[in-house]
Amino acid sequence: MIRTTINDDSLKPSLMVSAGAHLVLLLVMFFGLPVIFKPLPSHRPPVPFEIVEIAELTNTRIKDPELQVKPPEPPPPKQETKKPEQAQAMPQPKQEEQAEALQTMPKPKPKPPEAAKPKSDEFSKLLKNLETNKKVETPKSEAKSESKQATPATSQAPALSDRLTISEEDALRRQIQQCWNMPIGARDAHNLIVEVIINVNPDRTVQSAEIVDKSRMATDSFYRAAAESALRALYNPRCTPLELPADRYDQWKRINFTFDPRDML
Amino acid sequence: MTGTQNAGIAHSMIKNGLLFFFCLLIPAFLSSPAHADLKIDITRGVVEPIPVAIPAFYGTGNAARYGKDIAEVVKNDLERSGLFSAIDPRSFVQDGDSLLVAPKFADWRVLNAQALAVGKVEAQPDGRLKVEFRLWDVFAEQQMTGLAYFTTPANWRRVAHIVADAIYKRVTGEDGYFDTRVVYVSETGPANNRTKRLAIMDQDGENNRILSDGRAMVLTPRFSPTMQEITYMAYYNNKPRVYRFNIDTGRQDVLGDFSNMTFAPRFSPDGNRVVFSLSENGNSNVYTMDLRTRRVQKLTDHPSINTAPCYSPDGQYITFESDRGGSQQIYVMRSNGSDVRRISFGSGRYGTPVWSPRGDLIAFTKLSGGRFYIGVMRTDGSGERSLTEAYHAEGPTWAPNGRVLMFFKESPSGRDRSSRLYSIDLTGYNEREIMTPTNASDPAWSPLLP
Repeated sequence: MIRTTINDDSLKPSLMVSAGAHLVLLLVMFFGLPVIFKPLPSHRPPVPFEIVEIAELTNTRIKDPELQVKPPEPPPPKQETKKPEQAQAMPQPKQEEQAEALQTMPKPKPKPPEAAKPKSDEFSKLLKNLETNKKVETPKSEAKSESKQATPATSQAPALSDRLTISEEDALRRQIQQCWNMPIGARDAHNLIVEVIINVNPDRTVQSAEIVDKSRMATDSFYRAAAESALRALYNPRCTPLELPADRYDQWKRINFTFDPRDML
Repeated sequence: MTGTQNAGIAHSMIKNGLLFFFCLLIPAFLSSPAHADLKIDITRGVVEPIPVAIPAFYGTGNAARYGKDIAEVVKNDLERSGLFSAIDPRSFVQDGDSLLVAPKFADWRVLNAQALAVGKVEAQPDGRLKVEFRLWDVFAEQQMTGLAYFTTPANWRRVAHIVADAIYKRVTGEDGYFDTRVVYVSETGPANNRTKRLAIMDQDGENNRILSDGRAMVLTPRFSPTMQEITYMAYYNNKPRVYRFNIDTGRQDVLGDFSNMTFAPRFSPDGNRVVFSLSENGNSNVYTMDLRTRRVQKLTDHPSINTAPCYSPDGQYITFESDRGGSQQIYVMRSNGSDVRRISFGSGRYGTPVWSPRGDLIAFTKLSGGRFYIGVMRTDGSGERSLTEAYHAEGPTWAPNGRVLMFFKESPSGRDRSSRLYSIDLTGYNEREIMTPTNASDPAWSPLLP
């Protein structure tokens, strides 16, 4: 038998190395390998939300499903031939459900204002692209634009009962959207944002409408065309009288409209 | 001066300053009660043709016939653009000269007419016609525009196009494109032995005229952006060369004396140069020729196929197709040949890029998955969209306002292979066939007529 004498001193460094290596191994097993090259997880964009009022008794929702099932924003005739079938297929059943749910529930929840939106989503991007399917807008961006639109209502915050509810604003918005023939093929259409201030008669007809940016109206023929399309929407007999609560004239005798085709480009 | 006096002056200065400051503020408050206004953002709308009423232009005697025809051409032009829909004349409640005095807007509103074009044709003592029209905004009850023209009776069709252009421009903000012509290659004979002649017509398919006799095969005609001149490639005595042709004089000349084939010509935006390809040992490169000095400059120098060059409307850049990267793609370079960069990165092969006269887009032909597509992309290659697809579609050409494209489609080859011209709106809608008496290919849109 051969015996090797082991010198205690010579063993010491290798012991330490071994212990150290084991420790590292244990740590790696416990925590996993350190990630060096993977990029840091990107920050999730903050989801803004606003507190908005829904009228206690809001009739817009209940009516909507019926309305929407019947004339679902008639698409331009040529569109029908080319658009994929999902256009009709997608949102219908959901809306039916929504309608029933609402009828049984006396108090509508703050959700409904969005329920009507998917309907118009498939028309949101009007420039045609045959090859790639258009991205359907994500609910998040939808919520975002919703809240953006609602911002003015909350900013000044008079007493709750004095102002139009989000449902009432939404009803007016949807009415005008159906009458606005937008300039989508124009050059730099995303820059053609038109602000119009209207004075409304007590009978809810438009008394006068004024384009805010008059100087641009005089110099830019594209802007003038866009501005006139906005005026035509407001004067359109189909959109007269305006859908406004008759009893609160003070709240809507003067309305500031912004026409922005951004959701359609 | 005492201390109290000083303090007093300072005090009054401050007071005046404050007063001045408040004076500045008062109008700000007065003019913006808007802060309490109800605010509504409209970010969606509909896209449908604008309903427009175009009653026959009023006239007596012979002029009445012209009045009717002119209104008809105006109506057809506007409807074909896809942006307008004409209201059925049978529903009109007001016509004749009472319209010229004052339209009854309430009646037109009932028909949902948003615009109303009212016109009059008068025979002049010298035999000419005076055509005048007014465009009314029915909802706002205001005149939008009004113009008058004098013309020979034979020219009535052009006047109608000019009127349609004026209406189009006033309502959409963009220049019209109705008073334009299109050259194309007229194809006759059996599929395996076609006679290809140069032909020209109005953009609506009227006034067709054959320009060349058919002895030479003519391909890829292109309009000069500044005058009534065409450049094209033709096979004379089996030698493919680039030619220039003046429509008014009928004069034709060959561009440059090269031993090799020259092809794919196109004018520069100022009309003074032609950019084209010259084949060299199986490859081809892009050249430009100054039409006044006939000086030739080589722009690309790459052992690959570089062809189908087209200037940007400002003349600063040239887009072309090249297979230098392995597959056929679209590139953009400065007009002196420097700074070449690839802009198309999709699957498939891209060819014949054409810069929009508006400058914002490049139209192209794409072959992908065995199908042809006509598409557009922004000049940096982003935002690619396919507008139409077919078994074989090629040769996009822009209307001078950069809003509409024309191209040709061919059916699968066979005995009765057909080739027809089509136009399509930039948005991808409103595709329409342009009726031509023969089979047709390779359309080229003229600028607005001078």
